[in-house]
Amino acid sequence: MSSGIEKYYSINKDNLDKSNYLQSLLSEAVRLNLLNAEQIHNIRLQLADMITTETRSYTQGDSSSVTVETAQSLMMSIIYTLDFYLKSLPSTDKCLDAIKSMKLMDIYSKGKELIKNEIEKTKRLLALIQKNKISTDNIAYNDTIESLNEFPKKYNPMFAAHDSVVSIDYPLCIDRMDTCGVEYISIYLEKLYWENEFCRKFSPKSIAKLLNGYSNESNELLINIFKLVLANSLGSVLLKRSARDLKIDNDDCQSLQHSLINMSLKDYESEIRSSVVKIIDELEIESEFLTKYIFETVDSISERIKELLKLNKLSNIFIAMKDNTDGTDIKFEDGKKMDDEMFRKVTEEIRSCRFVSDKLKIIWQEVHSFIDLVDILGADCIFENEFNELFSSFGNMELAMLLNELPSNKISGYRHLSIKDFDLHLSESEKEWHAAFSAYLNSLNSARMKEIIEISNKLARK
Amino acid sequence: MDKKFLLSPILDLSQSAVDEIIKCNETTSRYGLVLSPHEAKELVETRNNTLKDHGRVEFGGGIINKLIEAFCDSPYISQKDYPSILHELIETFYYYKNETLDELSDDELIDLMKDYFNNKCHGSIELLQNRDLDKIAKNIRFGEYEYDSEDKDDGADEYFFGEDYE
Repeated sequence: MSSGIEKYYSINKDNLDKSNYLQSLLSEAVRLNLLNAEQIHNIRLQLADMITTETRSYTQGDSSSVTVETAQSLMMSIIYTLDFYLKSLPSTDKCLDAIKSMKLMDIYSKGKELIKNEIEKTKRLLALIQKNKISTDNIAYNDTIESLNEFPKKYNPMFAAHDSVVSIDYPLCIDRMDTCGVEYISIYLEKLYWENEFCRKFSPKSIAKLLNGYSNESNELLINIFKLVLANSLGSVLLKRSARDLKIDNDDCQSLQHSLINMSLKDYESEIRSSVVKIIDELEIESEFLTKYIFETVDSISERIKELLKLNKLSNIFIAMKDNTDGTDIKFEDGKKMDDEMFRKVTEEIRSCRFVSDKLKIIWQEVHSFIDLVDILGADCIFENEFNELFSSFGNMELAMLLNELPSNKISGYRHLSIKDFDLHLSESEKEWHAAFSAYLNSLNSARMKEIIEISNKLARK
Repeated sequence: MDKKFLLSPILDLSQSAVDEIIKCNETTSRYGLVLSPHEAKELVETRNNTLKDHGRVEFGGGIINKLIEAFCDSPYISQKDYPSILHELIETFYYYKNETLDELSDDELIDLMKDYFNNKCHGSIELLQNRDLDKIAKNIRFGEYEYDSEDKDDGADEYFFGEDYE
């Protein structure tokens, strides 16, 4: 039974810097008069001895001097190893006792022993991650796991214990980064393992669709997969569906918006909490670590939901899944472009036509390349109302392609930035067809317009 | 107490270094070379300044003694210029520790310095620094396996001494 009374320690652990433990512990001890000047002097002398011994060992006795950078790295490695042991002690009082009663060299040896054990732990975790990693095309995820595999080989606990040595790009959902060396890697691996375990409750296909819904370029983004999956699972439970169902569309977001916005803060929080419990139950999560991790993650997701509710933008957190095969890219292969001589002939012929129908006939007969078509539109051979006739002879695909040639500000609801937006050197005739085309598009009914914009989004952009 | 310096180790080894240098007089006096305590102190100061200038840290020490012991029997050193040559040797030593990327051990570098000084350089510190050690440093930086190999065609001797100096 908890009495609510906590043991009083002379130094509060919260006041200490985790990444610089010994230094901050000594500072606090001096401030609180728990260590006197002589004891500090003694510690510094011992450190001098240790750095001398370690440098000798580093140079294998061949050199009595090293560069300042090497000396600093050796010193950081020594302090990291001392910290490693001290941090393993249950309280700051025990740390102070150790500093007072033990030789620093003995603390150092114990730290080395603990680091050795930690390296073994990372090896075990790496083996587990090899088995439970999720199948995804996310580059940062795959590269980071590959790089982490090199850790036991590259890590140098003797002279660079503080150096994490491997490159870690994949962002964890909760990553405090206040540690380094093997300690950081070990924590990272443990969290990654549990994130993987969670994600494995869902099919790789649905995760791929979710990532694809997040962005077409999700493979190249530094995103945390676990958080995206958990958010959609939470959304699903809030919608009274299965936690395993990641499918959420815009209508679902709207219904969530309606149901959540009217809740009091207390109800909202208890709703979120009970949903998390449902997720944990349904996914049969037994690990205490993962349960805690999920709760902590949902805290941040919940804050985000609150913000997005105000903006009616829940679709930013509950991502609509997108199938990779539903036509993200329509590949277009252009026909043969005519040579300059031929182009000149065709444009002159078009210009000389009296009726639009004749102009259209020539265009349909002679032009076989989209580039040529765009050039003809801007070649002063089609005028005013003739544009409308020409555009109405095109299907949605041609119109969508022409839309991509237009500066984005011309059409409302069309958000993609185009290189044309930055082109300040449009000729008058180009401006003319742009204006005519945007007027034509704006005159279309909204359903057709939507269709054209959709096709245009799916077209592989140059 | 400034908390920043709580963990800076105490490395003031100056006095013991001076004592060790004075001790070397027992050996060097056989060659007519002796250092006064003041001169010994100046050598330690030169070492400290050189280490600082070249961004190096020394633990333990003993380099000055090693240089004294290696060079005391050189035919090119007399009592008159003994301290000044030692100052230059100390500076040369640390400079080339950096330039050779720490690939040479202390003993290897001192042996090379002694060999070149007594033979090829005929007691010229300038030649030692600018020609021979420089060439070795270059060889090491360019990854030559035999960094102290002679390059017969480089004409360096002719450059410094004229064609018929031997």
